[in-house]
Amino acid sequence: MPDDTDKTAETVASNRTGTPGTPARQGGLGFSRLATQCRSSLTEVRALLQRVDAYLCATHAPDDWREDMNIILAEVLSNIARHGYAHEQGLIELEIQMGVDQLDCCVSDHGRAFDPDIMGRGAPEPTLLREGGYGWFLIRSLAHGLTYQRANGVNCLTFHVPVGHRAAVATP
Amino acid sequence: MQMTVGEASGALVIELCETRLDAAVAIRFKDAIRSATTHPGSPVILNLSKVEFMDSSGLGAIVGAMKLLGPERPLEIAALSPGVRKVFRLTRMDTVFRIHDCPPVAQALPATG
Repeated sequence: MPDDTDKTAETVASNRTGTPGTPARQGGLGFSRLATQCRSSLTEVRALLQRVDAYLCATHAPDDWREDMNIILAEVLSNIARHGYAHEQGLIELEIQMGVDQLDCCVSDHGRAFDPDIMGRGAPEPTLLREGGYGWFLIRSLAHGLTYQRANGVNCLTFHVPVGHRAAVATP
Repeated sequence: MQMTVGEASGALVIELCETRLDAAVAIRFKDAIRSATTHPGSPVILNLSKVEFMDSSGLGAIVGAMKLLGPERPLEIAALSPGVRKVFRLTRMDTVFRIHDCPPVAQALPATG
């Protein structure tokens, strides 16, 4: 298997002072941007998620917010890897823009189109002991302002997570 | 997939020595549980104190492990990090599993396979 480490492009830009690659942190949450990408293997998806988590840790974002972001991204990215690209390899691009009171996120890929409107409208009934079907429900429970566009063979999913957001407990 | 097994008051205690239980390791997790539960003991208590992150695939793998063990050998969960607890809570799977805040103190057993 080829080593793809060098193919991973990552930039962190900041409009505040700070060392390159380090999110700005001067009061509030700072304002910074992370653009990164990976190939669609679950191993590379995991490595990307760990980079994002390290980035969010470095911003001193509230834990609750970081947990939400980690869950949403893990579900979105692993869905792309497993279903969007299925048995092919492809690129997944991710951009996170940190604002004063929310984190905006855009995930794009060249995999199969999908219809997010029909997914995750309810969680599986717990007593059925389903082993799958929770992913989109978690995304819907935690992500705000979900949009999906398909243009020129590219899927683009955007959402945001507001700071201080508390996930509602799902109701039966 | 690193796990250690121990015994506490008749229960089999399995500690997962990984920081992530996610889509990348879900299948290996189920295989490792199958191997670890060749030790006797009931209930089986899964100590997740080292797991910082779990996604829906990880949750599905735990549900699969529960089904693998069958109704005579309940699977219980212990020591959830806030992010892991959130996945159980949102999906209401915290109503299906008995969840312990702290893992029991276990006597180590020799590792299997």
